[in-house]
Parts: sequence; C-alpha cells; structure tokens
Amino acid sequence: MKLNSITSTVAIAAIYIATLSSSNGTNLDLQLLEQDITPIYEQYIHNANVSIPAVIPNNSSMVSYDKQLIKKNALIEDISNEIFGEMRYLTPEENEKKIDMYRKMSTVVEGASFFD
Amino acid sequence: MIMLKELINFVDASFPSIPYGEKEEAKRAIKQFEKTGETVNYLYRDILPELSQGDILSEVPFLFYDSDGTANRLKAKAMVINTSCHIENKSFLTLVPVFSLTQMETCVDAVKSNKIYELMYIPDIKLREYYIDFSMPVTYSVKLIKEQIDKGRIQRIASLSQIGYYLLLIKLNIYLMRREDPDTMEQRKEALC
Repeated sequence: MKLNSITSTVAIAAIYIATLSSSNGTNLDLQLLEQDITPIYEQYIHNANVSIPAVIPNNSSMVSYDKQLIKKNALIEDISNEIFGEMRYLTPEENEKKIDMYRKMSTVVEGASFFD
Repeated sequence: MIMLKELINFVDASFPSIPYGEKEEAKRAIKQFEKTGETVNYLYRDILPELSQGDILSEVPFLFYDSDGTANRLKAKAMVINTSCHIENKSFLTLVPVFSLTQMETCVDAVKSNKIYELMYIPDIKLREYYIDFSMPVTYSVKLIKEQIDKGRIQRIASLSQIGYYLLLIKLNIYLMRREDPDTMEQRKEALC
C-alpha cells in the first residue's frame, strides 16, 4: 500500500474513532437493554450510540441526539470517501464470484439443512 | 517515531468525541506524519498476552447457508471481532473469516485499498495476501476457543497494533453503521409519531 494510503488510513481512523466512540458505550447498551430506557437515557444523551426506541416523542432530546449521530455518520462517511476514495459494496457480479469461491472451498454438511 | 507517537496521542486524546472543528487538526497531524515517511506497523510485534479484539487465529470451521438452504462448511483463518472486555466476560465469541487474496478473482486493488465496505485489508507482511470478510461471522464458545488455543490446536497468529486496532474499528463502523438511505430514515421517523 502506498504511503499516502497508509497515512490516510490512520487519518480516517483518527477522525472516525474520535467522532463515534463512546467511553460508556458498552455498559450503556447493556443498561438500555436491561432497564427502563427513558429515566436513564438523558444523562448519556451526547455520549451514547444507540438507536431511538419507537416510543420516544419527536420533541425528545433523543431525537436531537439522533440528528447529531446522523450528522456525525455523514461526516465520517464523507471523510472516508475523501481519504479512501469512493467506498462501495461488492457489485452483484463480484459478490457472486466471491460466494462461488467460498462454495468451491466448502463441503456440504449433510443433515444440517434447516429449510427443507 | 515521534510523529507516530504524537498521532496516537492525538487519537487517544480525542476520546470519546471530537468537535467537528478539529477535523482540520486531525488532517494537519496526518500531514505531518506523512512527511516523516515512517512505516506503520498494523500488527503488534508479537501477540498480545490475552486473546484480544482483532487477533488472527489459525484455521477454524465456518458455516454459511446458501440460497438453496444447504449448509456449507469451510475452513479459514479467523479474526476475533468482539471487544477484549467481552472476550473476558462473556460466553460466546464472534469470529469472521480471513481468506486468501490469491483466490479472489476480482477487485483485488479495491480490497487492498480498503474501499469495499464488507472487506478489510491489513497491509502488513504477515497478512498482505489475505483479506477479512465481515459478512460471514460465526459464533463459538469462548471456553472452547481458549481451550483449543491452550492445547495448541488453534494458534494465535497475530494481534493488532494500536493503529491496526483503529483500522479495525473504522472498518467495522463503516460496515455496520454507515448512514442509511433517506427513504428508510424517513420511515423510521414516521414510526415515532
């Protein structure tokens, strides 16, 4: 990989991690799953990375958080495109070739089919 | 290594969030780093003491169900994608396969440039002929994998350096958390009303 690509990787990593990471993310996710969402959410409003439950009204700060997250994700994607170049999924043809390659490397597991 | 160290410090100091205005600061730091022409080591010089996020393991079985419902099993090297804390405290481990690039018939350059969302390339001599495919994870018992490592039936091939770890996080984030298409986002908003 060219030097500029390597350094670019570092650049995007720096920006990406800086913008998306949350020091409390893991614990918060667990809390959100295990407890009543609304009372505990507000203290983490700018520091969590969770989706909005359907019960939250539009004027909630959770919605503004969501907008902030979308903005950050958009920024990150823009930066990643700027540095890596336009990122993409495999095309259907490329994907089919990849899966075909995996099929050739595979053996069928007899009796494991769930969808008969 | 001064500039690299400064860069790492910069990234660390940026947790957990960074104001948008600091984007330019980040770029400036990278440009300084670029001028030094240093080699970036994406892999740790040895392996980390404990099984950790991003570790590369020797071959394990992977399973995928094809469109006709058949279950296909194949062996491949594996990358651990759970956090190190998760590995320590939870029962199950998620591995994604690491395949040889030499068998890839198309888009090798795109893979090597890390331009494909679902694939990751680590530009290190140990792994330069391989790519990681996030799209085909498999779940194992942590206990099983650790026991197999202890018995020597599975080897830990490599651990990520700090920079390699950042690369993994960025690739996972892009793969799983990139912005949705506007239509889906609008539909989600409607569900709030």
